[in-house]
Amino acid sequence: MWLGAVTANLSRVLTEGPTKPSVTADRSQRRATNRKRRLPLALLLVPVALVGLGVALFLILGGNGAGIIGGGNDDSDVVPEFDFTAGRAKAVATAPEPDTETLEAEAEAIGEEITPLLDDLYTNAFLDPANWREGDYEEVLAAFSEGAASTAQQSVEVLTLGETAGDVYERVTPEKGSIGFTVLFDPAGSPNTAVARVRFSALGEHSDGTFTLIVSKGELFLRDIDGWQITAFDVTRQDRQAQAPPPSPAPSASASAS
Amino acid sequence: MTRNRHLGLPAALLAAWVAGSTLGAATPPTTARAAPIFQIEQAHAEHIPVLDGSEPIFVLLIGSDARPGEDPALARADSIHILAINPAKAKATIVGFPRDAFVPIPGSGSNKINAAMTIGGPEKVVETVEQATGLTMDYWALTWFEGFKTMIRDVGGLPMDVPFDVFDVLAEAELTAGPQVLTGPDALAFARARHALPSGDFGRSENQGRLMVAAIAAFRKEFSKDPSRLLTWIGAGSRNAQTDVPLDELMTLAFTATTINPKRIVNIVLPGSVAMAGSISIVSLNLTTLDAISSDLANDGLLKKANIPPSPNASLVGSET
Repeated sequence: MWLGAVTANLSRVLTEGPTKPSVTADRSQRRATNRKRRLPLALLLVPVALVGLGVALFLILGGNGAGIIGGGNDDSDVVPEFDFTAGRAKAVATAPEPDTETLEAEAEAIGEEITPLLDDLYTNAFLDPANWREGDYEEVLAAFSEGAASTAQQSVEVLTLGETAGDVYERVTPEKGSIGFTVLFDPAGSPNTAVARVRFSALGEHSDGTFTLIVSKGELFLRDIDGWQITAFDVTRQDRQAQAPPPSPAPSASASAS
Repeated sequence: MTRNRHLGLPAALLAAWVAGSTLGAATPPTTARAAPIFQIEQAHAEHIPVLDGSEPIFVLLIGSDARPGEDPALARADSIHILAINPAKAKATIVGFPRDAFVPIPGSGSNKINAAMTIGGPEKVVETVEQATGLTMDYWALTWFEGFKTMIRDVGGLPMDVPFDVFDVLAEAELTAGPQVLTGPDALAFARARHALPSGDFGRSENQGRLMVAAIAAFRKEFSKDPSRLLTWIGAGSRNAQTDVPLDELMTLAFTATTINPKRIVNIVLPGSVAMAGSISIVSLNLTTLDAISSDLANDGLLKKANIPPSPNASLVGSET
């Protein structure tokens, strides 16, 4: 679907954008940075969580140590690890006689710089239960430039798991993610625009035991505006019903076989 | 299965004729040339084009009659079109000037409009058109025979539904009606042929507009298949262009081009009548219509239905349908 109506207010997207810190290469550091913004809420929740933890321990352990709440291994709140598999980056020169080798190397480096940003973007958009359970995708929208943010906000159901995903899914786990880059260089050899071709899929489990394969495909246009930001995008969702994944072998099974 | 698509691409255009032709079809050029095959520039140093969609964008597209060895920017301008784009509505208008239109050329009295470029280059053509219409051009783009053919060849041909047979020995045109992929020489022949057209140069100017629409359509189709190709086409276009327009601006223009629906492009030629100025055969433009069209374009880049003149090739199109 072409959204011609929205293009007008995005026409400066490629040349303007708010100040934004660069992406930190270290993923754990980035996550820590992201989490800092939640600190006040976390402080409020700490006493509640402690009380809750006490109640839970009491219920689980009971008087005789037998678990009342089954399993004890619920990982539905854990953020699944996800990293895109990056393909080769292509350089596009605008200078009449470009230094192709240098530009190709630069394009690769830019791809490596952007990939962690998109790892985080898709993790925040589809995989982090704290986001999709609440339908809160503030971290996702932060990846878009000022001009593109309003369109991204309007497209949140396509760009993320959706605002009501908490009612739909019990658990979401990543399946596949591949990414490729094309980088346009200006005549002076500086990067102007990068396009990331993204293919992402994840398996969403519903409460009734059925599954949906969540598929997101598209192109993201990024520019380095005090850090790489998405200035435009063309994203398609192709979700479909899926079979239950084959059960993973229990660690104890191999042990007992030997 | 759910299938939702969202395109949040920002708007813009490179001179659609140039962008469309150069950036428009299947295979990008793989080599850069020492000599450019087209030129695009801002029309005025002191006028900053507004590309945020709030105002129409005006590009003056000039086809030079230069032969090999001649300076294209100082030859006669045998193809002159205003491309007016309304980014907010994703619509555009192409207005062709008959090359023999007799108009005042600033500082040089009155003459055929195609002489303006021999007097003062593309800038003089801009000045002349602006004086005639009251519009302010944002950009001008110039190409010439060899450049035009090369562009079409480099993009693997131009898909076009030729509306009627065009056989013109002088223009080397041998085209039968119907959808086809025009080669560079074919496209040039279609753009030049006038002897086979009952309305002569008026019909030819409209056909040149048709090529521009076809180029925009091809560019848009290519972009919709793979948006990342935009960068490839911009790169190829830039390597083959002579321009001082910043890359960001070209990107914005190219994005705008992708938003224009070819079916919503109105392609007209300014009406007029053949007359004589001394011993020279000229075209006397219908000034009432020119004023009405100019006023419409100044407003939003689009024409009111009442001001759209009849197609000079109407009888030919009718005979084929």
